[in-house]
Amino acid sequence: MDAKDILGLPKAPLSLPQEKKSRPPKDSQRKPDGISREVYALTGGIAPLMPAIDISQWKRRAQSENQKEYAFKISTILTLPLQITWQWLPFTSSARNDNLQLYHWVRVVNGVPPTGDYSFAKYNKSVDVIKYTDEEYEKYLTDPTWTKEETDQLFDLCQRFDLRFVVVADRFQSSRTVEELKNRYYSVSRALLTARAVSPADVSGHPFIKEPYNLSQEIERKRALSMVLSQTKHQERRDAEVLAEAKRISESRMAAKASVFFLLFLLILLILALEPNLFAQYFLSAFNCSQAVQEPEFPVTLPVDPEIAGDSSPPDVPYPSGIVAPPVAETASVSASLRMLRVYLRTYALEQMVQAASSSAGLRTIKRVEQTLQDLGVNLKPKVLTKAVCAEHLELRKEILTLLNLQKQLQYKEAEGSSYRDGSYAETPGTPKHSQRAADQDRTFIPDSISFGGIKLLSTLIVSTISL
Amino acid sequence: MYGGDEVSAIVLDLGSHTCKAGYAGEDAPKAVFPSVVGSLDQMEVDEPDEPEKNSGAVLDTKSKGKRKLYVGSQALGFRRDYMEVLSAMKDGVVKFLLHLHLHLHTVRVLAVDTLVPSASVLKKDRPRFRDLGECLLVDPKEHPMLLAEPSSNTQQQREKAAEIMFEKYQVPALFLAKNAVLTSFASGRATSLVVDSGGGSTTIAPVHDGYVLQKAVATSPIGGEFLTDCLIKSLESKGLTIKPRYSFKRKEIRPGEFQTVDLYLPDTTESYKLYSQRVIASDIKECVCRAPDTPYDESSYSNIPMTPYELPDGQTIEIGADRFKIPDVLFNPSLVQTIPGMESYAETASSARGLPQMVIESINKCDVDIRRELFSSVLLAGGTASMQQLKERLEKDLLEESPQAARVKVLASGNATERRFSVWIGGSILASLGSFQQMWFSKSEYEEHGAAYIQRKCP
Repeated sequence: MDAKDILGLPKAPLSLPQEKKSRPPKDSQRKPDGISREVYALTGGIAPLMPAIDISQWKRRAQSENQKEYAFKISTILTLPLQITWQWLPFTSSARNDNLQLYHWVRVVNGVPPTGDYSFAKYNKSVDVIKYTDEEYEKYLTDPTWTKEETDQLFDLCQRFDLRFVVVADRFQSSRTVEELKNRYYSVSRALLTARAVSPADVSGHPFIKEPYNLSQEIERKRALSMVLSQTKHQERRDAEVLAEAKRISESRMAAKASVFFLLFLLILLILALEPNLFAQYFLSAFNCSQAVQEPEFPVTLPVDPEIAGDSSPPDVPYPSGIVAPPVAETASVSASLRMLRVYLRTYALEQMVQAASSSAGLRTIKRVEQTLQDLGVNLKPKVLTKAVCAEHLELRKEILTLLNLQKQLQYKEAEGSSYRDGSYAETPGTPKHSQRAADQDRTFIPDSISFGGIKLLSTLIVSTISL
Repeated sequence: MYGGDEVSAIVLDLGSHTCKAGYAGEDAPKAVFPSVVGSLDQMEVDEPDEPEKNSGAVLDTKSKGKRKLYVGSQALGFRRDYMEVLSAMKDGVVKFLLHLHLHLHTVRVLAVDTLVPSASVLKKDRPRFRDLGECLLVDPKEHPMLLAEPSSNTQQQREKAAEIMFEKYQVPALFLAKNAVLTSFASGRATSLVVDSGGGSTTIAPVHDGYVLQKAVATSPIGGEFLTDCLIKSLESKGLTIKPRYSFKRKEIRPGEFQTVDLYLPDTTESYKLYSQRVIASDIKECVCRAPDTPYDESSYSNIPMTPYELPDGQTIEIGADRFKIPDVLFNPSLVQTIPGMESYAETASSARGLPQMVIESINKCDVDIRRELFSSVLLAGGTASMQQLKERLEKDLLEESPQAARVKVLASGNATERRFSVWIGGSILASLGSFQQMWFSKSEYEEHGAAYIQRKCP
């Protein structure tokens, strides 16, 4: 591009087609002077894309020293209308408000210097800072913490430094923070805008009015940022050390709990594997009411418990309510879910177990169970939750459930039996029914009393343990 | 260059150790010479002019008799009887305004005037303009001038500079730019923290959006020349004296073998002797000294292998721990007290702080929002900053002291000469920009508003 400029050639090869048309018919007949035929044949016998200077012409003009003439002559040879020179000319810029004339190199085309403003003057942009008069200041802009001189100086600096508040704060005479300066500037501008506006609706869209400068928020933000940035490496190292230490302690605690839990689990499995008889015995006793009546001593604690307690008593001590040895009498699913949690409260465990136990029964039955519990004087939720109490409570519930189921069955059987008897006595509806009902009631009552008795024994024992 | 427009401005950076001058738009200054002048009081008023001796000299017309000033390393290298070497800078303030004399490929400098009268010149002397038209090969009337000034220049000094340039040299336009801003522009940044460690002092200045934040500028009197003096004293305490270049002659007695003959020159001034010694010592410092990786302490560096250095008089000296001790003075100024002979500087050194501390202090004085950006663009400039390993040591120290949240990055151009001339290069870039041409402080504006207007025009 530059080479073409220097030679004064057009940017696009406009004149080429003309040249090409005129050249080929000429060249086929003769070769140009100055170079031998063979050399010319090397070029392919056709004119090059960039027309080279014809040597014969050049020799004639070799004496010419003036660059302008030279360019002019070349342009005439190549029949081009443009001639380009570079001249050292003065210029002015509209960005300046005096008439300083500096010099620079200018590209002159055909002897006509370029017109128009200095090409860099368009980059002279500045910020629009609102100016106020003295009356306006008196009317709207007075502030107890700011004097007029300070406000004037602030606006002058803002104009000079194009609202670079950091620099303005640096050059300000009295030491004010950047936030104070910003606050003053924005509040003054806002007041002026609202004062000068024809109606409030005009300026409501202006960013000064829509989003006012929040001084307290800025101060807080900067304070926090400065705290972050002013922490030295020593402090940070200490902080990191403390955090690491805390993490280690918490991890060790978790590890201890996990190990205890894990140990219990292992022991249970071990015992399950080694001594299944114990468990079988327990299951039988739990679901057999009569046997429960016969054996006043209840399997208060699991047979495994003393062993486990003995093994793991030291870590057990600080966590009395934390770890629960899963009661073996419980369904496997509940105990499995409890084992998933490393730490849980006994109340939660009890609830889970109650739910599991009563899942087979309907809602009414559960209500009856609870009613029965209340009749016996046992709380629905035992107050003091120790292992023994929980186990007893669950057992009681199960037994009540069993009792109710049995009662129901008995009633059905009685009803069947009575329906058979009813079928035989057809004439006397009144008295015999009455007598039968009484008999029924008597009959039904007896099992109740028997079962009640057993349950009553259970409940009294629970109450006694609670009172202990 | 799309943003560039050459107006053949001249960029002038008068440093405390060297002055750099050249045309704007070029990538290195044409004229680099020491900022000292040799002054010779002439007892006789009319001395026959000898062209060879007076090359580079100019007659300074004072009422008390003529005084010849010799400027330039060539002129200063030639020893003359009774020639005093005076520093052109005093405490960072330009005492002499050196006039540029650009002549095709070489530069000759003519000292013309004093800006701030020193004690040796009577106060009622008014600087008189002597017609130097015949010596000038460049007419200052045709070239706008860009002067680089220290980052903490007072209003009075700036006005004085403007006065001299407009009244005396009739420049068409002038601009005073701060050193830190020019260094920042030379590295292509508008916001940075500039650590300028030059000959006379070290200045740390934060630049935000092209403006120096003056309330956060920190200076320290420890510079390259201070370190050179430390080195001289340290060598003297070890019994090694540096013989100035002029004080001996080397004769070749056998092919390849030289013998040194001491010359007896009683009329040489003390200041000239000191100056010559300094030249040699600063060469030693530049060749041999390196910034240590860890703070210097006597015990760890006591067994370090010595590096040999050959002095101009043929003597070879061994330098060991001093290699690391001297640069560490920048980081730990209290080390000066351990160097015997430097006790007089102990007070100045004790008040100064080390380089990393000054950087952190300076940043903490700035607004919180820009601190991160400043940390991540710390620029090194100046002659002393081209010392080996200085950048790495500074980065390491800053990482230690700075907060975790900030990412610290120390930048320095790889080329050592670029570090030395970064202020000048920045000026060259600035003065050749198209959009800068509207910012000149022109003569007509000076005539209209006075010298105080410079405060507005050159922020």
